[in-house]
Amino acid sequence: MKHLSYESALESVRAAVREINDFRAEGDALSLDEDAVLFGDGSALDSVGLVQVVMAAEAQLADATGVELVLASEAAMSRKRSPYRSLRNLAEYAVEMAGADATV
Amino acid sequence: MVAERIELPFAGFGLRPAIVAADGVTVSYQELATKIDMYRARLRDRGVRPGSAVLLVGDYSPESCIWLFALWQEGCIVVPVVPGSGLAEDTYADVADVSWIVVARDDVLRSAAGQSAHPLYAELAQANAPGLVIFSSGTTGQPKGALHDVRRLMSKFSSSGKALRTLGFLLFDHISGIDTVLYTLLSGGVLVCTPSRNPAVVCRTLETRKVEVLPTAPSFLNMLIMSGEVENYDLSHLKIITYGGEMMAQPVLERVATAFPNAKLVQKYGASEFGALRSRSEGNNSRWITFDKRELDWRVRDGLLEIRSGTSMLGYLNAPSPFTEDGWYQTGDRVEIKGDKLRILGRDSDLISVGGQKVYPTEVEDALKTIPWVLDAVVYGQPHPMLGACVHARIQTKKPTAEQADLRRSLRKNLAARLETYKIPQRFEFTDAGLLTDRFKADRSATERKA
Repeated sequence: MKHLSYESALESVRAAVREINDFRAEGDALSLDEDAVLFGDGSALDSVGLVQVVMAAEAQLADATGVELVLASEAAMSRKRSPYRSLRNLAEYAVEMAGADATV
Repeated sequence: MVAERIELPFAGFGLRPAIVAADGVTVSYQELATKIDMYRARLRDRGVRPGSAVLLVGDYSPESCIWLFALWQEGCIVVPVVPGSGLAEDTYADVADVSWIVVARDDVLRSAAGQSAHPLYAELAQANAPGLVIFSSGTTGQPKGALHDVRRLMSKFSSSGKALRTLGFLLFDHISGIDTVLYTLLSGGVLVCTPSRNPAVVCRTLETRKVEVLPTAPSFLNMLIMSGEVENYDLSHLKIITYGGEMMAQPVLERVATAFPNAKLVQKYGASEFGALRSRSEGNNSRWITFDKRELDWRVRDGLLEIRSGTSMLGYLNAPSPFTEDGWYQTGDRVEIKGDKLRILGRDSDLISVGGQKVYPTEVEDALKTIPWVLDAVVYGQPHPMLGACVHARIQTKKPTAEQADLRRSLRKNLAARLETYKIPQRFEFTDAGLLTDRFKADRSATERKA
């Protein structure tokens, strides 16, 4: 696949959050700030909500790059530094996964 | 004169039409009776003995029906399979250990490698009863062959039913297809064959042959209405539409009721294991049904429907008996009860457990189908590392060219107003192709997720 830059990964992740915000109650909208906590302390997101964001991000990345990345996996969940902590972490993880994909 | 194994009323119906073939040629009951006798003689001449398992390759046609009844009257065990079933044909022949094969369309009767040997066949032979093997199209593993005693199956048709012109639509090798043949012909009705199951062809057949009963499946009704063909034909002869075999979505039911204001809509409930049961729908717009108490007992255990019926199969040829010790069959269908009525919610095996919360695919499909640009929707579960399972939806849309993100956004917004958050699909897939399997069931078999 073509190289996935951090900027375009973040753009896809943000688009995913916008998708999900669209149907969340107004007070529950998720922040688009790349460093705001997405999942963890102080986050309004429950596990179903997180899966919605992650899978929407997978779909957005697939729309943008044509490649299906898997962002939810046992490996991702067991990382010391969670890729779901913030939008930045998720975008970085997507870049990493895309890179791993390119070496196959 | 020796009593027949099964009593057929055909000769008594005289010159009334029995079967209208796909090409329009009509066979009378008199001819049907005469030909059955001729084919019986043929079977005896060739040395086809009572108790032989015979693969009958056929679809709705005069020939298939003649073979079916001739084989039964000779005490054979019929294993129907529709032409073009590919590998299924070999599997059925193998599991049922057939020693003869009939290809109705080509007028072929030939011997096969099997021995017609099975402990359950021996039970039938003891009772001198003809048999029927129906394979259930299970979603996993090998299809299971359910062996029926034909006399038991036919017993519910002994009270003379109404003679109606009925379309042979449901598959001939399904219990519901055999049910169509039996209830039409045993009551002196007319079995109408259609050249294909394409909506336009079906509508034309309904119009030209003045069909009164259309036994079909919810997905086909959905497709029929989507096709817009209903308006192009005079379908005013249609009195009864029966549907079954899968869940009917409430919005689809309402569209069908609107499209066919003069027809009575009846939900049928049946399975390869116990036949098609007679039931009454509460109303054209209702999915609540009552069963005929004379035909079966039912009870609900842990929310799941169990049935005990005189028309139950003897057992599976290739699987352990699914009956409880006292003869109850566990359908695996989750139901709601209201007095003596019940409503089927869906198969428990289709249930998706999202982080421990239960999602019935049909409930989500119903909600999706209320959205005008959604032509059809199939919902199924997929394993997910975070939640155990997540909800996937495959959508047939009128707008395949729209941006997928916009479609997803619009769907989620729509669903959020109707469903709890965990029921909203996490993944959407869009297609402009149909979502039905070749057996007119919504295809919930998940496509493998690309790794």
